[in-house]
Amino acid sequence: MTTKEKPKVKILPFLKPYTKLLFFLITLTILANGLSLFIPRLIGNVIDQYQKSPGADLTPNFVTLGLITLGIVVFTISQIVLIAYASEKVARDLRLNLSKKIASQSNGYVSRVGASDLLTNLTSDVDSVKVLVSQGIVNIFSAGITLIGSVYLLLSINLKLGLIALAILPLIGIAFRIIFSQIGQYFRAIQENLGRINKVINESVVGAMLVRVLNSQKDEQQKFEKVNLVSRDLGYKIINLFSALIPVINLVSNIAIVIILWFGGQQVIEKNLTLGEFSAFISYYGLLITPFFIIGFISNLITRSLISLGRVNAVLDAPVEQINNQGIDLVTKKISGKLEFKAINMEIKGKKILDNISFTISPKTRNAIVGPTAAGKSQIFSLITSLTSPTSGEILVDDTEISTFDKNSLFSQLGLVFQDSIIFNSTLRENIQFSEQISDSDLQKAIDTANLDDLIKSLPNGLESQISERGSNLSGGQKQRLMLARALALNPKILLLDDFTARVDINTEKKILQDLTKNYPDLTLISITQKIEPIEGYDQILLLMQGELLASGTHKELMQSSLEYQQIWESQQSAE
Amino acid sequence: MSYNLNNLPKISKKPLAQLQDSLNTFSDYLPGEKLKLTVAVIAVLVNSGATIVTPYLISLGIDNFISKGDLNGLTSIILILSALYLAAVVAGYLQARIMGLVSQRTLYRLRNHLFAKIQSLPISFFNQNKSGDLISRLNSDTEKINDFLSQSFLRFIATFASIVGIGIFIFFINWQMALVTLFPTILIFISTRLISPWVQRVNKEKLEAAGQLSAEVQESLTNFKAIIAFNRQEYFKQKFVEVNEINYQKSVLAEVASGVFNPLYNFVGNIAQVMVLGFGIYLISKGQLTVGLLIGFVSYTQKFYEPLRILGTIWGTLQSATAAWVRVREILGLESNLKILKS
Repeated sequence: MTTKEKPKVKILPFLKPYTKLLFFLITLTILANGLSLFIPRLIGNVIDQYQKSPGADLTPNFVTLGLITLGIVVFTISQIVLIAYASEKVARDLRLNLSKKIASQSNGYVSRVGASDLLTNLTSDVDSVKVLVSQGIVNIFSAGITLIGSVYLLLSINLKLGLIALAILPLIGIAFRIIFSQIGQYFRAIQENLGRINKVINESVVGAMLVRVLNSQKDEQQKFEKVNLVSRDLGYKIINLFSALIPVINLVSNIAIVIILWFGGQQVIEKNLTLGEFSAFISYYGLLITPFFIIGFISNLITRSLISLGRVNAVLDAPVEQINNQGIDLVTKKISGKLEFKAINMEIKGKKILDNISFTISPKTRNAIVGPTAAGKSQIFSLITSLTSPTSGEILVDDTEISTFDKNSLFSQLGLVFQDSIIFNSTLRENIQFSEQISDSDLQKAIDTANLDDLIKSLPNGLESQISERGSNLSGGQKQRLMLARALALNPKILLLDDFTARVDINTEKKILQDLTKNYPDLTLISITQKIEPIEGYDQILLLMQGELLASGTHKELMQSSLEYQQIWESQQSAE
Repeated sequence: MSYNLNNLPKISKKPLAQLQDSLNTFSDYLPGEKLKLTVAVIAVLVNSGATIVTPYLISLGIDNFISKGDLNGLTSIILILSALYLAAVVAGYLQARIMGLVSQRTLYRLRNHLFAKIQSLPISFFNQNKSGDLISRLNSDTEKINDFLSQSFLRFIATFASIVGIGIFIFFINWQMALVTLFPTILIFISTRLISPWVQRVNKEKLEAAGQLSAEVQESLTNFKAIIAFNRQEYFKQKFVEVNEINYQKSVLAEVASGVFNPLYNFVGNIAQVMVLGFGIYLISKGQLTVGLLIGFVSYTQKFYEPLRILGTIWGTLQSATAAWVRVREILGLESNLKILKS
């Protein structure tokens, strides 16, 4: 985010689709405000006419005044409705575009930009852009027409007096220039800091469990108070500038009234000005000052809106990081389940995470990747899911480079069970049946295999029961099994389990693995784990340590060939 | 123990009672500001006082000096006026500055307090509420309160003071004209009474819809890798379209509701001016009013109804700030539940 320099945001292309709507809105604004300008003049006329001939019939004047009053109310109410409609439409469309854009992005993009920032973009930034339409445009035009109209009327009533009264107006302009040249930076800084505040809030709410486990509420509070303090101090600076601006405007308008009284009074005495005109003059000068207050009030809203628009545009203009749109023909074939790593290296920030890893996984076999924590197991997992890409080397799925696959096609054949449970605030069914193509029999098979039947029967509404976002009404094992059922429901060719055994008890796990072989005979299984016992019967075990592939083979083979494997196995035996 | 914010007993009070309640509970966040607030209130009164007296001084100038061609008299009136204006400018500065700083401090305290409260709540609180909804209460609701405090609160007090001041002062000039000037406020009173409950309901629904939207986005974005891995993009888009559409519909209504006071008050103000003019001329023809005073009353009508109109605009932000404050208080109120449990 480059917020240091003044962001250049193009407003016009963004408003282009709404040209007609805005044109209509501006017309209404001009009509409503233009009509209002007639009132002081008409009142002045009535006073003058009465003074000239006290007996005269003033009915026509009052009829005109009444009609204008009615016209104004009709126009202004239509204006309000139109503003609401137009601004909310802009906001809705903008949100829709943002959501579409985000949905087309990769996981890497979302985790890099951060969920909390994107949330801010979708909510408060869009709200702030909306203000540009609902308040900015309308007020600029109503202030403009009032300003031009009253200046014209002041001059047309009495040129000399008008010029004198208007002569001091530039003072307001100068004050505005001085103050607004400084205030913009503070508004930008406040908006930036809002992002930081949101981040702290987000972390503390989403990570509430962690905060309580680590007992770090105090730290969170301190973090929050720090960013909150920055906002307050920036607020102080803005207030200081603004409170200097208001007296300047007041002073100028007061001086003008004194001038009008002094010179205008003399003109009336000299019979160059009627009392009605004099009264209209004072009214118009009052009208003339209001736009300045409005502009002052609106300009900070507009500054904020433009910053938000810039941030929203940054999301909308971000390049889509999938190769999908680069014109290469993407592979959409059915896979058999063969997977090959060829000399894969991976570095993160100069640190080697995976060192020259090569292995082949044959279709319909059961494979395990074992190793202690930080061995690089999870990196292999995310490489297979293609959520990340390697620094060098090739990953082949059915002899085809993984990056040339159409992601949708690939993901529909991969069953992923993440280590962290991802549960949506929805029904149990919607949490398992993630895609609409999944048939009821596939769903049932997945539920049976994942051993979820007992859970579903125990819930009052069965499959349709609501479960909460964090799945708090489910145990750790139940959540894991739900994730498994979700992956299986896709009828995948390859099933990837990341530390699945950690939270499922050994008996359930054995049963699940048996059912898996029985119900999904064509499945290629890759299980990433620390525990050896459950995988002793697998076709291939890969031993990973500190980013290196130390050994591979069956349990029997490894027990003979690999000292490290033996050690791990023994340590786990004694632990039990 | 239920911590579900959406299942709390709904406080269904009349809007004004709710406003008063909000003000009472909110004043807890103003400790140590009493002296500053007093100075600010005095400044507001001085400023409003000047606004109130000037049209009358101008009327006197017209009737006694301009009409009679008395330049010396005019000069003396202008000198008094200038002194008054100078005082008003100083008072205006003090008022803007003090109130602005107080409101920033208050918001700072409120946010810290709210955050601390959330930190003190047990994990079941987070399990029973959607993260997105909580986040929206913590940031956008406090932001709405901030918008009101930093931009509208000051104008609210100042306009309120001049409305009341003018309303009283004009009775001393001419009670019949004052009655005619103020009579149309009945229209404002009635229409506000009729519309306000609707405005509040619509605003609350809008905030709820926004909370839902934020919750939906929050959930999907934090679990984005699952969305990618299970090709759920379409589902996400479709779900978003639903919440976005509901939010849109509620927002249009809320926007109309907040905006409708403005033209209404403007209309009543214009009616009042026409009435004042007609009745004023009638009184002049009977010799019970001078032209200067009529001009003064036209000006008073403007100065009375224009702030009312501003008040109407502010009323909208006030309503959404009140609704936001209710949602924030729902969290703050949970703390007492926990305390009872502990003791």
